Amino acid sequence: MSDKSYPTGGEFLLKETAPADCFTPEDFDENQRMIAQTVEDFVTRHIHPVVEKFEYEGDTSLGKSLLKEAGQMGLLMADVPEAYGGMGSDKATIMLVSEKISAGGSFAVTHGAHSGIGTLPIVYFGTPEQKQEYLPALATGEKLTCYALTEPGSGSDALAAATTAVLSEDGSHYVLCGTKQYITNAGYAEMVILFAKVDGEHFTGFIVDLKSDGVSIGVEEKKMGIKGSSTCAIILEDVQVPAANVLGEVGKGHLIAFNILNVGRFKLGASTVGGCKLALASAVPYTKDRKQFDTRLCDFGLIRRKIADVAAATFAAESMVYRTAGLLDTAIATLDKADPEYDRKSIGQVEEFSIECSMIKVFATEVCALAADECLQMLGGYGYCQEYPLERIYRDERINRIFEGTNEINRMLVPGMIMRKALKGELPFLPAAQAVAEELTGLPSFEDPGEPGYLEIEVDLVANMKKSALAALGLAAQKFGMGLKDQQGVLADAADILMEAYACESALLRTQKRAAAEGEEGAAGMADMFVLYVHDAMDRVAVKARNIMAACAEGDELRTMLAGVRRLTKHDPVKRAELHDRIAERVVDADGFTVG
Amino acid sequence: MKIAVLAKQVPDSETRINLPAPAPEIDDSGFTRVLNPYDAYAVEEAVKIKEAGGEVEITAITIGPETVKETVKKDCLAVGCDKAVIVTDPALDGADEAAVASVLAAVLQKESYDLILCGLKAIDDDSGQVGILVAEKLGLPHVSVVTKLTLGDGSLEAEREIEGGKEIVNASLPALVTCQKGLNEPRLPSLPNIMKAGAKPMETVTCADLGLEPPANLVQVKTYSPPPARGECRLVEADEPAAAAKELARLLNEEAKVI
Repeated sequence: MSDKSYPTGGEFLLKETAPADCFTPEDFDENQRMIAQTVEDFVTRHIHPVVEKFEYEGDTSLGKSLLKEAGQMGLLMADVPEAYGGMGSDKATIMLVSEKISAGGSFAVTHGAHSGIGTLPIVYFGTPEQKQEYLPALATGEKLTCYALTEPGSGSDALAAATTAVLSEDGSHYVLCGTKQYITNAGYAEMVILFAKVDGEHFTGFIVDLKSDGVSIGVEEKKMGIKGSSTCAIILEDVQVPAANVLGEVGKGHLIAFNILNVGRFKLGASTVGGCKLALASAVPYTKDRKQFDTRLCDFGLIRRKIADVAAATFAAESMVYRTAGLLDTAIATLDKADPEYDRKSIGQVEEFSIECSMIKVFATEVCALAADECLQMLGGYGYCQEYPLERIYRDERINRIFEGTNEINRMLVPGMIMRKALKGELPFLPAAQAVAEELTGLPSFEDPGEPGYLEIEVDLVANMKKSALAALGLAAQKFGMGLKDQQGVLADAADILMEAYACESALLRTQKRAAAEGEEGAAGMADMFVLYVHDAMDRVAVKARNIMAACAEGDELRTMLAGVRRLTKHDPVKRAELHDRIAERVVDADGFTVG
Repeated sequence: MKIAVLAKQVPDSETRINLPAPAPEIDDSGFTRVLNPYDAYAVEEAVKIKEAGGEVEITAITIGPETVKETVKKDCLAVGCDKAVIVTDPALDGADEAAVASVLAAVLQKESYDLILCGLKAIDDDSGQVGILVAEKLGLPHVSVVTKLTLGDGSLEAEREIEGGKEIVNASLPALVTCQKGLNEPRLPSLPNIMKAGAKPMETVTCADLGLEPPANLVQVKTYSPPPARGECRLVEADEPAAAAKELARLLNEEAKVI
C-alpha cells in the first residue's frame, strides 16, 4: 500500500476503518446545515411555484431564469475557488447542495450542467487567464455554460468522437466541425466546454462561445422525464475558436472528460439520495391518510415493508455517499492551498477515489429507482396520475441510470480500476485475495463465538462481504488474467458485491459512530435499517459470488470454492417483519426518511 | 442611522404538534424552528433601507435559548443585519408578552435607535402585543400593520391596513413599526453570506447583564388543548345543482342553524 497517511481509493476493501474516521451526515456543521436549509428554501420559493409550466408543460426557458436566481443566491459558486469569486467549498458541502437541489426536479440537472460539468473543467484544467475570464461570471450566473461530450455516434465510447478541430495556418484559431448531442442547457447557455479531435486524432477540450458564427442549436429533445431541462444538439459548421481557448493540452482532452465524470458521479450519488428522500416524503403522508378496509395503508404489513426497505436502502446509500465525501475532503485537505497547482491537484485526489465515485453513482441511482417505484406503488392508481408528484419522480429518475456513465459502464469500471491499481502496485489486492483463498480452502474454525455483542453478527457479515469480494474477484483475475476485462457478467457481479460491501460497511460505521456518541438507544433507528439492509445484501452477495465461482472454476476446485463462499456468506435470517414495523413507524411518524 | 429589528424564533408552520390531551405545556423537543415570517418582513425592510444608501447599522435583537443562534445567523445576519444581541436567560422561559417587552425595551435602551422594526405578530402565540408594548415602554410612537414604509428626514410615512382600505400615517423618528405581509418579499440568504455571517458580532446577554430583575408574567398559560376532531363531512347529493343548493340551504338553516 502507499505510504500516504490518509486513506486511498479502493482501500476500504483491504483495511478496517474506525467509525470515528468515517464522515457521516451527522457531522455537518452549522454552516452546512444552514446552506442545506437555504437550498431547500430556494426550491420551495423559486421552483415549486412554476412546477406546472416547468415540469409538465416543459417550458425549458424557465431553467435560464431559475439559474439566474440561483446565481444571485450563490448557488452556482460552491465549486468555484475563492480567488475567482466562488466559495471554494469542500466536497461534503457541494454534495449536500446537490442532494437538496434534487427536490427541484429538472432544475437539479440544469444546475449540475452549469455549476458542475460546465464550470469545473475550467476550475481544474483552465489557465490562470481562462479562469480569470470565465469563472467569476460563471460563479454568479452572469454567464451560463454547458458541457458537450456525447455525439450521435459516440456515447459511452466518448473518445470515438467525430467532431474535428483544425488549426488555422497562422496558428491563431481552430476550425471546429461536428455535432454534439443531448447537451443539457444548450437552449440558453452562452458557452460550452466541448471536445473535438485536433486533426481528427488528438482528443482535446475547448471553450467555445456559442454566439460564434457557424454554431447552431438543435430543437429541444422530447424526453421521458426531466422535461424542464433544456436538451439540444449543438451543431458546429466551420466554427472558429481562438487557439487560446484550448482547455488543458491538445490531445489530453480525455483527462478532462474522465475526471469531470468522477465529479458528476459523486454529485449524482448525492442528488439521488435526495431523490429517495423526496419519493418517501411524497408517499408516506398519503399512506397515513388513505384508508382501505377501514385501515390506514401504513398499517398494512406490505406497505410497512415497502417503507422500511426503501428507508433502509436510502440509509445505506446516504451513508456511502457522505463517507465518500469525507474521503475526498480528507485527501484534498492534504494539499497546500497556496500551491498554484492546487485546483489541478485536487481533481487528482478525486481521481484517486474513482472506484468509490462509480460505486456511489450506481448504488444510489438504483436505490432511487427502487424508491420511486415502490413509493409510486404505495399510492396505487393515484401514483400513476400526474396529480401526484410520484408519476414525475418515477419518470425523472430513469435518466440517472443512463447519464454520467451508464450503470453498465460504471459496473465495468469498479472492478476494472481495482485490478488496475493492483497491477500498478497501488493496492495490495492480490496478496489479500490470496490470503482469503487460503482461508477458504483451509479448515473452518470451530471456535464457539459465544454470545454476540452489539451488532457483532453484522460486523462479521460486513467483513465476510469484503472477503467474498476478494475471493471472487481474486479467482476471476487468476482465471482470466488480462482477459477479465471481456468477462462483463463476472465484472458486473463483482461490482455488485463490492458495492454492497462498501454500502454496508458505510452504514455500519455510521451506526457505530452514532452509538459511540449517543449510546445504542440513540442509534436504534440506524441500527434497525442497517441490520435489515445487511442481511438482505448478504443473500445477494452469496448468489453473485457463487455465480463468479461457477464462471471461473470447475470440478473439485469449484466445489471447494463454493464451500468457502457458503461458509463466508452463511447467516441466520432476521425477523424482518419486526424490523419493518419499527423502521416504518419512525418513517411514518416523521412523514419521510429519518435516522431516528 | 441605527435600526433595530426585533426577531423571534418560532416553530415552523409545518411542524406537527403532538398534543393528545390538554396539558400545561407542549412538547417542543422535535420542533423545526424558523424565524417568525412577520419578523422576516422587518429584517428585509431594514436591509432594503440599508441598501438604499447612507450610514445604516442594523441590530437584530431576540430572546431565546442557545438554539436561536442558528436562526439569527441564517435569517438575520446572513440576510444583511450587521450584528445581533441575544438575551439568553432560563428565567425567561415561558415569559409572557409584557415580560418579553420589558426585556426588549431594556436592550433597546442601551443604544439610541432611530427605527425599530418588528413583525406584526408571531405565528406561534399569535398575540400581536409585543411590538406595541415595547413602543409604549420606551415612550415612542408606533405604527402597526404596515404594508409600505417611506423614510423622510427625521420622520416616516407608513401605509397601514385598515378595514376596507388603507390609512397613511406620519410619525417622527425614533419610532416603532410592526410589519405586515405585503410590505416586501423577504429574500433568502446567499450561500457566501451564510459563510460570512459567523464573523458578525453576536452578543449574548442575561437579564443580570441588562441590570434587570427577570420580569414577572402578568398572564399564565394554564392549559393547551388540541383542536376538536373534525366532524363528519356530509355530501349533499341531488340530481340538479339547484336542488342541491336548496337542500344545502335548508341544512344550514335547520340543522347547522348558521343562516
